[in-house]
Amino acid sequence: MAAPSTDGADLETLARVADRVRTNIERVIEGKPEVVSATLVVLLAEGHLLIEDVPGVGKTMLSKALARSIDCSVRRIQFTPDLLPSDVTGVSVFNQDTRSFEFRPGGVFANIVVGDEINRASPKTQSALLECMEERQVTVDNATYQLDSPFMVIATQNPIEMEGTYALPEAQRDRFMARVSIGYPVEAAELAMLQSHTSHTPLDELEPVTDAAELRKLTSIVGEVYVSEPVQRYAVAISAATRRSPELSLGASPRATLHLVRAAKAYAALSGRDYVLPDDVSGLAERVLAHRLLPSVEASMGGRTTEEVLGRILAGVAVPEGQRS
Amino acid sequence: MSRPAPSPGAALTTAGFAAATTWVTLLSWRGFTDRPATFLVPLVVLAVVVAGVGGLGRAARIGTGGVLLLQTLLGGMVASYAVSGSPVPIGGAWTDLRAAVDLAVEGAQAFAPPVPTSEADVAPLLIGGGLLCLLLVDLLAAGLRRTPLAGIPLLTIYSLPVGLVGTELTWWVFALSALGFLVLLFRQEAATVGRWGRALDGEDRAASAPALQSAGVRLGAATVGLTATALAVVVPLAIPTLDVQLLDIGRGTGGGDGIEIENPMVDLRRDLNRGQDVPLLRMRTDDPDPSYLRISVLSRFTANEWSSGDREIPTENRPEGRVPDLTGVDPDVPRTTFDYDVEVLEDFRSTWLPTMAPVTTVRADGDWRYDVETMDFLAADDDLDTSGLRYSMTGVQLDLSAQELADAGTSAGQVSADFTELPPDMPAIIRQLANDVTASAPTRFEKAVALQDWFRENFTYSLDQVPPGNGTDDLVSFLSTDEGGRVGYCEQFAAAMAVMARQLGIPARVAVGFLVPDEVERGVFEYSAYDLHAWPELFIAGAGWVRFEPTPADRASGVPTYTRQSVDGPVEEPITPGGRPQDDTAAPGGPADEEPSAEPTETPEAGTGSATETGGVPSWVGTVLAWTAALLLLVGLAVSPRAWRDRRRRQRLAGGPEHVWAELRDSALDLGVPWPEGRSLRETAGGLQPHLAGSQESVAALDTLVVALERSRYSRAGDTATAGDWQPLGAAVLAGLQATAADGVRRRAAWAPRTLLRPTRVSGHAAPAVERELVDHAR
Repeated sequence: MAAPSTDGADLETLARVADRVRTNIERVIEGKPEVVSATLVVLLAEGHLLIEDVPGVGKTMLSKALARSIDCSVRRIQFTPDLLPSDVTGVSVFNQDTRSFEFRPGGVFANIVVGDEINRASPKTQSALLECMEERQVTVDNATYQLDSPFMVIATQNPIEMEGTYALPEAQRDRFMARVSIGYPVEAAELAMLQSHTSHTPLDELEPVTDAAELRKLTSIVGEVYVSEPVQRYAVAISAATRRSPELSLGASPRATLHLVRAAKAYAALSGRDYVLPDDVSGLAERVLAHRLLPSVEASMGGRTTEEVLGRILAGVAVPEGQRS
Repeated sequence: MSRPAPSPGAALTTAGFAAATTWVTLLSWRGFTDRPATFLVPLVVLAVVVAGVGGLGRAARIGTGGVLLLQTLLGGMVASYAVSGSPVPIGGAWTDLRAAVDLAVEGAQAFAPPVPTSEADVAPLLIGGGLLCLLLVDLLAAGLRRTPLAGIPLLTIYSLPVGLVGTELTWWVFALSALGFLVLLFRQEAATVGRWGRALDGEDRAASAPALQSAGVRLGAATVGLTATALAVVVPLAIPTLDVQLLDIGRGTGGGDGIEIENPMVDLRRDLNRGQDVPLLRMRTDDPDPSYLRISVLSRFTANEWSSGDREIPTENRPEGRVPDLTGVDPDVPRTTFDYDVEVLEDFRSTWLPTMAPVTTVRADGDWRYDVETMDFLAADDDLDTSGLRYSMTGVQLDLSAQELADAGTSAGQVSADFTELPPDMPAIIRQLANDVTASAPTRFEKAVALQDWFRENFTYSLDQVPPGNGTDDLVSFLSTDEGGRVGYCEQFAAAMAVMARQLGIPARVAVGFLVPDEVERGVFEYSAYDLHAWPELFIAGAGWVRFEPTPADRASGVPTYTRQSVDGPVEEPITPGGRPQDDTAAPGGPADEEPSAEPTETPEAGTGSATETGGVPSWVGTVLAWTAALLLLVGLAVSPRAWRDRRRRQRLAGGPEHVWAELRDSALDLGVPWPEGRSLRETAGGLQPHLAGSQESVAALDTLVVALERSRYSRAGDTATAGDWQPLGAAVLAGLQATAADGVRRRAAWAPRTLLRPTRVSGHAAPAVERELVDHAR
């Protein structure tokens, strides 16, 4: 652990910027602070976010609000059944003037990509996102094009039971750092929304509060947050426990462990700490792991959700006491 | 943490296993009595009672103390019924119970195991001991769930007969006990792991509660348990050096060992009754008239018999020539010394070394040691006896006068109180006779002389048709004037006089040895089997242990000179050139050379040892000191858990946040506040907050402490974050915890803290290398 330590000033900067973004988003998404926090965590941890919920609860609004809060390039791709992979990644076209092929970038070439209703596109098109999300590059016709940093995919999807959807394959779900559900607002928040959203569209009034360069700095601050060995072991133990559980037919992947620890670092930084606690890890476990796990047939028949199974697993993993000085 | 009440089935099963294991282990006590069924059958009933009450009581959530009380009450009633025939020992039943227990205690002291039931039934002792063991094992294994500790009483039960009787260990009892113990351990550990999930060190198999109960794990546990038990049974067979006695109390091998020895009276009886006289030892001496040669001293009287009692023979009690000075003997008493060279013949095998009494030097090959109280010598080596032994000694003959003996002051405090001890419930006839006979004698010495004369004048010496024995009942019939009474031989005379002297408060004991030798050539004397004799010795201040001779003249023709002198008048007897007063009251029929020399008191001397003999310290001082010491010990035992806990609390509060946290954990557990294991600091603190009596100060202190601990455990700064004084924070949280606890709980936490017995926790397992590599990417 030879990384330079994060000093207090860095953490203050991070908190200030994050607070501005949070306030901005909350102007359009009211009464959902925990969802906004999760979004920020994923943003700072350089992950991708999957927002899953029934139609009309503000999935697109959230993704747009986040995109608008940051002064950077934003693209929105509306996934439809007839969307082609080249629409996502880009295509080489023949230029009659220059008599050569030139690359025309697709929707993925932006700092923030909002993939709306991603499960409405065919699996082939969904898969086009795979390389982009993990490796932050696009390969078309043997040419590889790097994506800008920061790069974040915010995808929304309807629950897979809805008609006209193609469930995301496991490989693609695993590439999202976290999944959040917005859920219905409480009555007071819904009332406030009626008052603010009927006369005008608050989304249009959002001004960017940060930019790509500042975001890059923030992510580097998060990268320096310290993860002690006991906490690392704790994260590994949780993942290992999901793999052993008889109630799950698919456990967490090593990439999931990686995402869990990265998210915990971002959460710790947001909490003003330059070190990760076991509580950060356990607190984020559901958002980071649940969408990657497949319940076994027995658990499904027994009516147990993945979240319940995960909760039981967490209760069974002992928290390490840490380095005794 | 409050434990869930076990189901009746589970509670009964655990208690049943505990009781069954204890009972099986108690089978190793079979050798204590010749009829083991007399205690094993009642113990079956007791085991059922203890297990049933324990299991049902715990299922009904009665507290540990309540369950124990119920078990003790019901178990006690069953035990009382088994011993006295009545479940409630009141009135006659109480008397019966007391008598049975007294008899059992005496039997246990008097007889070597197996104790014949016809002589003394030791079953009440074994039933009582068995009940205690059942209660203790049940309490530890089922009540407190400290099964590993239950192994200690089980091992004690098992090893007791090895230490006391020296019998062989029974392998199948051991195997069954060990298996029962392992089953108990397995049940407790399964329940513990089931409650807490598994530890962090990731094994491949899930170890959740259902998995632990799975067939595979049970099979594994059974395999390990059976293999270990089998190895424990088989391996010692292959390694002869493992044949070690757990409590080796063989004859005096180490410093300060207590020792119980066989009764020399038995040998005396046999040798006096043998068909022909056998020469036993020869002695060359300048003593013109040697007589009483003492072999051993019997100092303990139980209702059954006189026995030699215990001996203290540490290694420094080897004679190495000179032995300690005579104690109890006034330096002014005139004395004469004689040298004796002894040759023991092959036929005489004794683990006691015959010596003159008193004696000042003894030179003998082999590890002979003396006891300071009795000044008799015994072999400290198992293979050592007198057969063929040659040794030399210097004996002392004191010139005692009746007047000085009569004028002697009290002997209180100069000898051990053991020498006046009598069993309770002595028949009144003995005391009555002793008082009647000595009514006209004003002093102790004169009372002793009166007793001696009374025996010699009113009793008949006979070896024929006299039942052997010197217990209370034998003495009563010996003293009675009924038909067959007042007839006996030296054993009864010596025993009766010593007992009556003790009744009068005079320290007394019985000596066994040789009476008078035959002179086979000039200066050479020979003792034979027919010369074996017993006589009483009474302690008189200023003269030490003084010999008397109650056996009538048919056997012992002479009495010590000083017992013939008039107390008021001058010395009547002439003084021989040797300086010894000569007894010239030889009775008709006695051999001419049987006159005993008037060498009176052999004195157990004091030089090296016991404080009770050295000075004129009154005996009550010793008693008071002993009681004070016992009281202090009790108080110390009662106070020590609290003192120990307080000390540890102070030490921890003065340390870093980890120490303060450890102290908070123990204090919370002491106060019955749940403290879940394996949870994070924040979760634990969250669980603690409702127990802080709403004190803002305590809650704030707890938060500060948790943050500091988190920094110290998980931040890069590590231990540099722990500087500072954490004592006030810890004290504030403790104050909050104690404020919510009920008074009774607080008292229990202070005086009997649970964490006294808390097992050490294991934490911080190393992560498998692969997984560690994996998370390195995350940094």
